[in-house]
Amino acid sequence: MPSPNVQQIDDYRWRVRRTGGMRTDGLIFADRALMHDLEGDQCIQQVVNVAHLPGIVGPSIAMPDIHWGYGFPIGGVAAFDEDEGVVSPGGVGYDINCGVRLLRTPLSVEEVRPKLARLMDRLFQNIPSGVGSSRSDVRLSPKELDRVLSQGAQWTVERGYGTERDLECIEANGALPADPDAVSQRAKERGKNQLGTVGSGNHFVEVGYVAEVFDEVAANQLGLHPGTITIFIHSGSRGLGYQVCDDNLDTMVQAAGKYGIDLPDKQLCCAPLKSPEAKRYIGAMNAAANYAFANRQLMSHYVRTALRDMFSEDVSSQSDLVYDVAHNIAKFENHVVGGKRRRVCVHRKGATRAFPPGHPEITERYRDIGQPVLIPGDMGRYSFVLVGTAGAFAETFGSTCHGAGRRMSRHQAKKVARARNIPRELEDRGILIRAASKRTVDEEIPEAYKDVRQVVDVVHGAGIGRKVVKLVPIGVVKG
Amino acid sequence: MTYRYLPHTADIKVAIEAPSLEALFHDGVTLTRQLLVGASPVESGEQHPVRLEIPDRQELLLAFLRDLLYRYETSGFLPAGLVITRLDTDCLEGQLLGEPFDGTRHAPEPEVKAVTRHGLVVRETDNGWYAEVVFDV
Repeated sequence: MPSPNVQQIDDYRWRVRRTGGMRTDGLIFADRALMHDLEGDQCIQQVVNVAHLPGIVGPSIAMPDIHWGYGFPIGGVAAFDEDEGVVSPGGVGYDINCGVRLLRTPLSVEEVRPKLARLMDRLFQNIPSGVGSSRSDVRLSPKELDRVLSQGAQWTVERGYGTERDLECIEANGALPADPDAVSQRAKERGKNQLGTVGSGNHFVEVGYVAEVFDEVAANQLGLHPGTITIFIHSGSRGLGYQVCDDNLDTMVQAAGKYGIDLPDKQLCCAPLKSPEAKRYIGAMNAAANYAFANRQLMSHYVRTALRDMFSEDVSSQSDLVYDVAHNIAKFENHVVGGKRRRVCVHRKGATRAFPPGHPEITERYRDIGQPVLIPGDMGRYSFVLVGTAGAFAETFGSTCHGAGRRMSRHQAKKVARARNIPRELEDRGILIRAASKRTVDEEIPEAYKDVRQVVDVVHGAGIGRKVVKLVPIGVVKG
Repeated sequence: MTYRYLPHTADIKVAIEAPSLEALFHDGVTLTRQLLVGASPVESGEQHPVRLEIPDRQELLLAFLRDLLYRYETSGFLPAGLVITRLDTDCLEGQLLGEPFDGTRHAPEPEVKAVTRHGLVVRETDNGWYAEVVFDV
């Protein structure tokens, strides 16, 4: 086991006992096999480090896709009291509101297969991918960029790139209260030509189909029937978000000293939620989050354009958004802690909001089943759609996992892939790859990731998410 | 230039050993170029001034590496070398040599989002200077 301070509670939960300067316990969701995978990784120490931060409410939580991040672990969830707590840019990450959205089409896998190669070419052409990718057709003036930062996905829909129905199906309706003036010129410079681009690394656009249904009622409500073609989009706030994080880390390093906050790792730098530094960061973070909502909305438009060109106007207009979730964000939410209702700032870094049935923040169309939760796996196996549960709301501040989580370093993955032709291997399994860089594909080989089924089975077993359907990829656009 | 990749599950962690502080910054250029376009050759056709004033050597290296990423992302500038005219405790001044990214000659590596402070080390040793840096990718 990783440390004598880590004790197994049940099949899916491990407690990291409070010691030294920790203000609370750690709580890790994992089965024995996933825990074994964490040996030698620094992420458990990062769970411990987060537990040192002032005003933390409840345990320092880690999801089963936990892995080594900077400051907070990836897969970390931590809530902070609105009066005594802090906000930390390291608890959100560089890619602010990195997230996933899922569209479902009226097409079946049989209808798409014969045209798949051309569809993938069209998607690759319509949505710029790769390092520093930019659009020549969406150039934002400083004023327009500020509007994007204030209005998020609403900006996109107002310009005809989507529908009001789309907005209903986005976390926070695609817009958080933001302060564009708190975003630096450097960040704006990085973001001005990148709206509507997917980026690089683990970001992607993926065509798949519903391969297995676990919960028929919820699947029907989400329109996810066996064989239905779906399209996943995974991206975030691009260079603008990275710069907002960098800028505020600088401020927070100073602030932590100014407010006498003792940090076990500099990358955990933070400021009291009531401080001007925190208010400025939250205003800028929300602006970057809005950019990410608008980015994914614009990419959906280009996906629909490709569907229109390849199939018909009807196919395009009937390709509805199932949901859009953020998995790198800090938000004020109301939760019941120790029997008392409290307003807390929930940091989710590589974790997804998973609100239960009946929660007023979920669109009415899904209120009976709970908030849809989208869990992409690697590009060779499968992904899952879940719904939020009362268990998640009670135990994890309404949060669950976000993906498979890496198990192999990028360096190691490249070594493993070096002598192989990964796109060919995937094509032999019926999955077409279109990529801006061979190197990205090599780093993202399926075996570089944990089996997402293991991760999802843990959250399902622990009751912090409920499985609805499994999706299998047939085409992936990578950066 | 002596650098080696250290184990890290998700990001890129690198250790650099250099005989002098100047060499450490030169190595920073080589390392960044490697992370951006691998072994693709980069010409020194363009020259851009660089001036950073930060009262801490660790933060100075961090700011320099961030600056290289920023230039690449906003103007496609790839660094080939660095001519240092001033380097002391709190200031780096000089000229960056390089050229804009050209897809026909440069093979892009996966995106580097940021240079982090996580586990950042910059220290003087018996043999010169040693640094450890984690890049978020």
